[in-house]
Amino acid sequence: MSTATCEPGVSEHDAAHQSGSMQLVSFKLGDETYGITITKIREIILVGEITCVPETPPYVKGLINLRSAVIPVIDLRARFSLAATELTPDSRIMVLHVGSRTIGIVVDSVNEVLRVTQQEISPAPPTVSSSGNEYMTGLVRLKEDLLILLDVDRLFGDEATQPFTR
Amino acid sequence: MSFEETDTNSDFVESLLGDFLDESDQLLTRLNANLLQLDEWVQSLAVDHQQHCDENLLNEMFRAAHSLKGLSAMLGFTEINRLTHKIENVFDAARRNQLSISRNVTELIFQALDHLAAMVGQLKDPGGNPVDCNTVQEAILRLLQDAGAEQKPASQADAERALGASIRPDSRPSQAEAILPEAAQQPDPLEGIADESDIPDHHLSLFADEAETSLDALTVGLLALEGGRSADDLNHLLGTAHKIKGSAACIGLRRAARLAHWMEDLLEEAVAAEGTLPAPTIDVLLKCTDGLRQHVADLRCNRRGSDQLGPLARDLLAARQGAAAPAVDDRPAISEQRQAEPAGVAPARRTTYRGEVVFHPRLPAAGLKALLIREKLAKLGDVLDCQPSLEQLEAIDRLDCFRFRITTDQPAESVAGPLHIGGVVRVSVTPFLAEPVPDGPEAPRSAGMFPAQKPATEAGPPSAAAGQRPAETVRVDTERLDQLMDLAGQLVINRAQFSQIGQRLKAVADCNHAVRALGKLSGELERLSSGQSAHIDGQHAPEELESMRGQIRRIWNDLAPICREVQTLSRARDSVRELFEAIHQLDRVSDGIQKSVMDLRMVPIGPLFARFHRVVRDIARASGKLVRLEIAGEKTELDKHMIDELGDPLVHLVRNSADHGIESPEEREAAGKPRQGTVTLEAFHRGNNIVIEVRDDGKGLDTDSILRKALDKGLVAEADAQRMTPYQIQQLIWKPGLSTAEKVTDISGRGMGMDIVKTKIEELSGTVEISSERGKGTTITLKLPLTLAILPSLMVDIAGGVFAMPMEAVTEIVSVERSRVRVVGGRPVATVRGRVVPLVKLGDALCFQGDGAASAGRATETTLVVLGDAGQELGLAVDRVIGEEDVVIKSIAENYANVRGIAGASILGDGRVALILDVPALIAAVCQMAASSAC
Repeated sequence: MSTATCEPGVSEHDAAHQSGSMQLVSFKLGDETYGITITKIREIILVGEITCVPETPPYVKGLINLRSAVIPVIDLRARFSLAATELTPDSRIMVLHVGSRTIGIVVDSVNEVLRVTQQEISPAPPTVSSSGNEYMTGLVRLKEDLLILLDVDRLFGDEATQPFTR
Repeated sequence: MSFEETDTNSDFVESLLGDFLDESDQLLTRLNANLLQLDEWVQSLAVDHQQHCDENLLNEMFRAAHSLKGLSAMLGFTEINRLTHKIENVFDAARRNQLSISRNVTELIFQALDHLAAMVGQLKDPGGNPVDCNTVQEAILRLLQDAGAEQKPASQADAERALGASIRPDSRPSQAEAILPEAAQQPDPLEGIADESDIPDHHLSLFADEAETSLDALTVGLLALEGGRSADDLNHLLGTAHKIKGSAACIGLRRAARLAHWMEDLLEEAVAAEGTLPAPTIDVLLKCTDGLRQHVADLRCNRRGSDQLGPLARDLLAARQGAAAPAVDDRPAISEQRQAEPAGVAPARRTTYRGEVVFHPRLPAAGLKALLIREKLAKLGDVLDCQPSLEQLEAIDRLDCFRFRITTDQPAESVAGPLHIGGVVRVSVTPFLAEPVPDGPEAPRSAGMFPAQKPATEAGPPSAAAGQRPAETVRVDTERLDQLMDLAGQLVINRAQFSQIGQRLKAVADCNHAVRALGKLSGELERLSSGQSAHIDGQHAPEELESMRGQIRRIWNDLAPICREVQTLSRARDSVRELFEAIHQLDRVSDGIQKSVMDLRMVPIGPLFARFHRVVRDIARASGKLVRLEIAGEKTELDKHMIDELGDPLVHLVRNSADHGIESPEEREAAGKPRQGTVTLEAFHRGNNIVIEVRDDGKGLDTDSILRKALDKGLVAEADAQRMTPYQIQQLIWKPGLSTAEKVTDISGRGMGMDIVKTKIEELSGTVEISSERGKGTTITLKLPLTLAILPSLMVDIAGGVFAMPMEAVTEIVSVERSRVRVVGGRPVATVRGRVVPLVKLGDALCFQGDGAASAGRATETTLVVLGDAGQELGLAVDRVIGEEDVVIKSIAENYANVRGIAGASILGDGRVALILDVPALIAAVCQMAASSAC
């Protein structure tokens, strides 16, 4: 169904962490660029067949089989209330560790692995990190882009622990 | 509760904790069982004052409490330690007749055991409420004070002394002293200490596994001590020795336990002195370790009763007495010393004999004769035990044979001589093999003055199948088992994948037709090229014809390799056939693996059932009823996880049966039933299920008041109420509304927490049903899958998605013509065999996004899968029935959350995820839908 294209090395991160920098995986959603720390990412796979699940909010695309484990896939576009688009050949599922759970998110494309220092990360302006958006924890100024740093534990903490209601 | 854990971080303690939890569970179970016996005895005492309390019972309980005390002390669980110590004191006082056991005492101990269980439970799951056992402790203390049996916090040694005394039921205090360490001069300090004779093999093998590990650790530790030692090392050694002692004592290997205890003493002294272990002492300890290892190995091979622990114990005690004395292992010196003071502390040479007296058949008052013999024996030496026991003898009239064991300094002849009294046919006295005289001339085995041949009636040693080794066991983390289960599940999925690939290959390789067509074509071309085909000859010029033939020949040549390749491809068919054979083989192997892995997790339900003796007893006592619990099918095996989960629902059900189902003795008598009510717990296999029944012969359900209650609560419409069958009314008690009724006992008692029971059983993919007859009793039937991991399911296609539904819930599959679907109250219904079944589309019952599951049921004919649960039915419209399949259940909640109407997911052969429908939830959703549309 899928091929793993990225399997982050933990030791590398540890070394980076000690030197005050972190590695991010950046990805695109529409025109926006987001980043998630590499330690949260288990792997990145192609989008295969997703089984729809009833009684779930619209942003839950369904379930996939990740090497015999059944994991949910969240449509991040729908989660961020962006306009829905068709899947493209660039679309990927990023498989994340969220607490003790494994969750997949559908993104438009995965860009690159970046190394940023703590100094390069500026806090998100209050207009961005308003209530309901606490998961946006910082901004990183790239050459021609602004990267929004996501905290996946905050983003999916609720989903992972509470059953959905209609 | 604060556990002053000595050193939680230490791996050593960690590893011990698991053992402690295991062992304390067993010990608590045993204590509870024994206490129930004792309780029965106390109750019978009220009727018959003549009965003697079973000393063995008290001893056994004392030992269990003591083991628990020791283990908890070792791990630093002070609270548990203190409480067990108190319990131990109670039994000790009772043994010494300082305390008479009354109902209050047993009640108090029951309480204390509950507290203990709670504390042990908290160790397993630190999240629970703290346990406060001060009140119980104080109550016990008061009890002991009142009885004048208060003990100062006894040291380990005191308790051990008492334990030593308990080892020989008939021993007098002086003998208890005799086996204490001071008696180092004694020829065999272990003499008179006998292992229990009926140790179950599986206990033995567990002990052997554990002991071997511990002994290895001990040896390594001792060797390390020889190098450079630290108090820490010594503490570890101490712990290990204690562990060996504990586990040996637990299963009744008293000799090994005692030796280990002395080893522990020696180490303890070394720890206390923070001092050194002299090399000779280490030597002796190592020898003891070797001896124990040998002993364990012997036990494994079922060679019991020939251990060499005696001499080791003597060396050990000598070493302990004169830790400074260099010649500790100088045996001759000791034996000289022994001879020098032959009548010192103990008789010089005592031998244990086993004897048997056969009476004349039909001898009147044989019991009295046996009593006489018993008295004669008592004069000769110490009678260790006899069969029948002293108490029984007084009551017995007929007796064929009287057996005894005696420790005496007399030779066998002198023992046997006085026993020849009137009516005795034969006397045989042989040295007891489990108690060999450690050194000195071995008494010949048939030393008795009578032929040592035993009559056939004599029960052989428990290890009758001598040489048959007890099965070896390995302790495995359940996590690893789960992992294995997962892998086995994956294998099943992979097998299905292979099968699908095979099908596709088969279709591809099916090219017989092509081979035939190609063969024909090639023959035609050949004919054309060779000019054999006549009809074109006349119409073309010869040179034109020749060039055409040339072209045809070239085509024919080109065709040849294609033919060959297609032929090769057709041979691939054979390979595909072979592939199928291989897949078939894989089928069997994967089935086998799955079954074996599942078997690993299977444990008998007996221990779970045994817990309910206590539950029923407590209720009976509290309510003043007479209730008996009958248990059947306790050997039935269930998934371990399932057993863990079943505890609570069963407690609910049994409690309901005993508390509300069974009437008071007076009512029962009035109804013409025996005064004592019976609650039966039974487990058995039925098909692919385990069925557990909770039955009572009580008053049964009062359907009228249930219905009334349901009407009050608005659970049933007035109009429906008229038409409901008694069975349907009975099922109402599963409704959550009824359980919240203010005083459930008003409606014949049932209902309390019944919806919780139902929910729990459904979580386990099981079903629960109730049937009851007024005045006759109630039966609750739990039907559970054999395992939680694999579910026999019906696979269906609904709007392109594959769904699985438990076969258990599928009543039938029918095809209904569109024209025969009626609409009742705005909802479509279909008539199936005269029953009216609501027709439901999955997309209506559950909220799908987009057009999911919407297309079903548009054709002229609809396929309905009729699903049933607890008397309710619905017909689910499906596009296609795919077939039956055993699916491996994957939890959705593990990575996501529980979803209404979905019980789980499963992975199909093609790698897709299929959802497993939760039928009860689906039916509930449909009912809710109907209710909301009615408004």
